Amino acid sequence: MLELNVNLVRDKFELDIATTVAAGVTAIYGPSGSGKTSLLKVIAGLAPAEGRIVFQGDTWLDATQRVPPYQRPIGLLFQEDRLFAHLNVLGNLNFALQRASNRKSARVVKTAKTIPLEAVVDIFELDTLLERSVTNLSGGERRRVAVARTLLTQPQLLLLDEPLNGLDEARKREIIPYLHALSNEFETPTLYVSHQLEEVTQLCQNILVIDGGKKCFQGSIHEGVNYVETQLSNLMTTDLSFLTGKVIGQDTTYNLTLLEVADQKVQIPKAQYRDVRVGEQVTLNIKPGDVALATAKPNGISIRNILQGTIENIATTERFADITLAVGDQALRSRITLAAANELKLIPGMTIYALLKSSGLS
Amino acid sequence: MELTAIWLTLKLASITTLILLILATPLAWWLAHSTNKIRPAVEAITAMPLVMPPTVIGFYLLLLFSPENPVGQFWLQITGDTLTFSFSGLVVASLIYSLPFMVQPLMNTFAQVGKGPIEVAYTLGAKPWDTFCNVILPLSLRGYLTASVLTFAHTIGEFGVVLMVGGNIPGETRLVSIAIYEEVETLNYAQAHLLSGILVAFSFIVLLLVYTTNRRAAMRLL
Repeated sequence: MLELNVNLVRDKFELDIATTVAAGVTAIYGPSGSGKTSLLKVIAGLAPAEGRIVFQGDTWLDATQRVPPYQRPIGLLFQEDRLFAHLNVLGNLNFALQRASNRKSARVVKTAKTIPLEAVVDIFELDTLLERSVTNLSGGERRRVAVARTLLTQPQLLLLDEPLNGLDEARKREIIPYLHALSNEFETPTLYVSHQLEEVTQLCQNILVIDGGKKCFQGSIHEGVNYVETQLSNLMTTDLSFLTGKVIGQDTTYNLTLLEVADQKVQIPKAQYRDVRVGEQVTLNIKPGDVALATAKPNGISIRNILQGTIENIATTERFADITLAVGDQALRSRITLAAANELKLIPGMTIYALLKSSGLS
Repeated sequence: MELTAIWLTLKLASITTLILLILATPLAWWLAHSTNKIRPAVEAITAMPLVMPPTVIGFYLLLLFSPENPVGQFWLQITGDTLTFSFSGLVVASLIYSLPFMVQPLMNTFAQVGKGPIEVAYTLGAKPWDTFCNVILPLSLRGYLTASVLTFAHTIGEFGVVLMVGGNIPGETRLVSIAIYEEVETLNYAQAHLLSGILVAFSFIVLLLVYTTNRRAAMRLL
């Protein structure tokens, strides 16, 4: 879909990436300063890179031509929203809508379906905001308007730069369903820049890991999570565990999805905003505090998900013990009190049962 | 006689402001965004009229405008009139000494607006001219207002340069500031009071208007 072979030198930083990105939602993951935003700007034509960019057979950059940014059929969501302060919400949306047709006639790649204003207003629930000035919107509202505006350019390639950055947990929960709606409703190929692994496991199918301006891994999300955990553990900004499992069935009576993780069964509440299919790989984000431990398999207990594993490592602080378990070839972290750890006489190599609260799984 | 001086002054200030609006916009834009090595030099040259004594500017312009100089000669050949002691000479001189009053506020406002809105406009499909008219201009309105008012007011108030270049020809180069000087020289204090009073009131009203509308513009943005 998108072929890249680009080089950009800036001060002491060099971005040098050659890859082919498939359709779907692809995460561009890496630590701060690794060149993620620069890569998006290169694709958008906002940074003066050399090399070659071909999108669906249409050359945007090579030795002889450089298509200006306003002719590339992209939608770029900037980190800082960048709404136009001199226009109200509707004015911002119309700015994009009115210019979409120019660009489309300039570079027709294929007859994509048009995204009408009403659909975007509907999905992002903007009808009460339309006449508002953009300067008195909340952070979440601003982000929704910015995403909506990006969509109204009728992009054939969406470039999202940290769409959840700078939002608190509540605002993130507000925005995530809209981002799911993006890939579900509009099926636009998307590059999703993030330095948060828990974000990309929820929203992306593929991952491109970059560090120091170079590509260091490309593959599916669960391969990517494994790569980051083993090869780039110093970059992990989260204490979440990521368990990948295969969907083996749906329980419609209780609205549960059944998974198989390392040959063991797990059931999770059915995803609200995404339809998962049987056979699909999904990645669960698990907080260490939601994982309790037992030395014997417990019976008569409300917790439905019990995974057998082996203790790999125990790190203690004044009050807590952080235990890393191996479940099959995947890692699962648990945080229990130091008192509990001592009482259970936990030692590395021991077989242990991890109890996962279903409500804590996403 | 005094009405003629007032009319001539307003005419000069308006023409200077309009021409500078057009000339200073690309210059201020370049100064705000360029990373070229000669940028500081160009910025320094642009700011020179702020620090140089008006008589120095006037002296050099007088030499430059003289029909014995190629510039003055060229002007004489194409217009049939000299640049010295003429209204056109005053306009050219005003364009030079009022340049920093237009360029600096515009430069600040362009720098403040930054590249962010331009990048957004481009990714939303707006071409450069469209971006300038529909994004940069409306976001820079306050800067344009400040720059225009400062340029207009400074052109009205200038004395040294216009005296050197234009002299004191009624209806041609006799501006209000020159007229006041002449009235005082001839001990005609009543006329000097009248003209000075008009300038004081004018300056106050203009500044009052700017600050009131600026406040309104600020409130609209909030």
